[in-house]
Amino acid sequence: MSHILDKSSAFRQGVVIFVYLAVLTALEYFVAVTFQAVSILVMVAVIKAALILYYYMHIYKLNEESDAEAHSYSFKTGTNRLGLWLFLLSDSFVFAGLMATRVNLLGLTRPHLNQILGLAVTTVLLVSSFFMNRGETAMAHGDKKGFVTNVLITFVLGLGFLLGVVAVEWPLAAEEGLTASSGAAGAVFYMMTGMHAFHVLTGLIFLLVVLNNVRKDVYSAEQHWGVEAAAVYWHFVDLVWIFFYPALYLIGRLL
Amino acid sequence: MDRKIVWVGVVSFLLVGFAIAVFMLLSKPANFRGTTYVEPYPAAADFELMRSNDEVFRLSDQRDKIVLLFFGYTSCPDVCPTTLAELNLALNQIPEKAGLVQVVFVTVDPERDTAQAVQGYVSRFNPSFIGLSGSLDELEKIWQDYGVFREVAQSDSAAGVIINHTARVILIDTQGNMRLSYGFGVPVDDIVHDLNLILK
Repeated sequence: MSHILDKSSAFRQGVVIFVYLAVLTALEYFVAVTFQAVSILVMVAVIKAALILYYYMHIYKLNEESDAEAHSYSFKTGTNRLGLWLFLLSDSFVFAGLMATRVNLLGLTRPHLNQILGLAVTTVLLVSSFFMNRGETAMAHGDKKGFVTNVLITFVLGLGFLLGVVAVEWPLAAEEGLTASSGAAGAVFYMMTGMHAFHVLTGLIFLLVVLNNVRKDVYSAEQHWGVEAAAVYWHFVDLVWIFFYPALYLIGRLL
Repeated sequence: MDRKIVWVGVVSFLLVGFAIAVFMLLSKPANFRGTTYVEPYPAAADFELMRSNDEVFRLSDQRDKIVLLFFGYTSCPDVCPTTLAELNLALNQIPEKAGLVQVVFVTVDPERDTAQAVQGYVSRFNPSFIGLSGSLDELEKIWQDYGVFREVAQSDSAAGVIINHTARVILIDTQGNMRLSYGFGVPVDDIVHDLNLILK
C-alpha cells in the first residue's frame, strides 16, 4: 500500500491527487456557471471525496491486519484509528443533518453570496489539504523539518480559510441582508458555515498541539499516531467543505 | 502504484466529461420553456400601423428589442386583461432588462377599438406597452400573416359583441424571427425564465 512508497513517489502522489482535485473543482465551477446540473455537481463532489478519503486520509489503513503484540504502538494505533474513524462517522451525521436541512428549506435555490470569495476560500482549504498531506508524508519518512514547514503552511492556509469565512464572508453576507434571523436561507448559511468553521478552528488547535509535540520530539517515522490523526481530521474538514461549497454557492438558482 | 493513480484520474475525468457531454446534448434544445418554433426560425411578417400619437409603428424598427406580440381587444372580458397583467408581472421581475422587451398589442376589433382606445387600455397595465389599431384591411393582412383566428360572436352580456380570437403571445427575437410562443395561462415564471435566457 501507499505508506510503503518511497518518499519522492509519496510526494508525487500527493501532487497528482492535488491536481486532480483542483481540475475537478474548476470543472465544478464551470458546470455551475454555465448550466445548472445538480447531478453533475453531486458526482464531482463524490469523486473528490473518494480521492481524499483514499489518497489523503488513507481509509484503507482501517483494513490492515496487525499481528503486533497487544500493548505495542502499532496495535494501539490500529484501535486508535478505528476510534477516530468512528468519531468522524458520527461527526458527519451532524453535517449530513445540516445538509438535509438545507435541501429541505432551500431546495434548488441558494442565497446570494460572493462567488469569487467562495471559490477563493475553497481553493485555500484544498491547498491546505495538499500541504497537510506533504507534512504527514515527511513525518512518515522521518523528515521533521519538512513536517514543520508543511504543517505551518497548512496552519496559515487554514487560518486564512477561517478568517475568509468568518471575518470576510459573514460581514459581506450580513451587509446584503443575509443574517441568521433574516429567514431560512440565513439560518442555513450561518449554521452550515459556522459549524464547519468551528471544526476548522478545532483542526487548527489540533495542528498547534502536534507542532508542539514535534518540538518536544514526541514523534518518529515509525510512531506518529498524533500526526496521522491530525492529518485525517484536517482532511475530513476539507471533505465536508467539498459538499458544503456546492450546496451553498453553486447549486440551484439565486433566491 | 503510479499506473493505478493515472487510471484513477483518467476514469474520474472521463466520467465527469461524459456526464457533461450527455447533459449538454440532452438539454440544449429544451432550454426554453415556451413553445419553440422549429429552426430555421420563421421571419415575423413586418407591418406598419399608425399609433395614437400619429407616429408610424413599424415592427422592423423594434430589432433592438425582444417583441412580445399579442392580439386582443379592449372589450375583452377575460383572456386579454389577464395576459397583459401577466406580461406586466413578468417585466417587473426583470426590471434591469425590461427596457429590452417591447410588448405589442394589436387589436382584433377595429370597429370599436381606435388607436387611442387601445393605447389607453394597454398603458393602464404598463406605460411601456404599445397598443395598435388600424383599418380592417390593414389588420386583416396582419392577422393572416400571424395566423390569428378571429370570430365575431354575438353575446347577451353587457360587453356587447364578443370576439373569439387566438390568445398566444408570440416572442420575436432581435433578428426579427419568431422564436417562441406562449398559450394562455403559461406561468409568469416561464416567461421570465425565457426572457432571461434569450437576453443573455
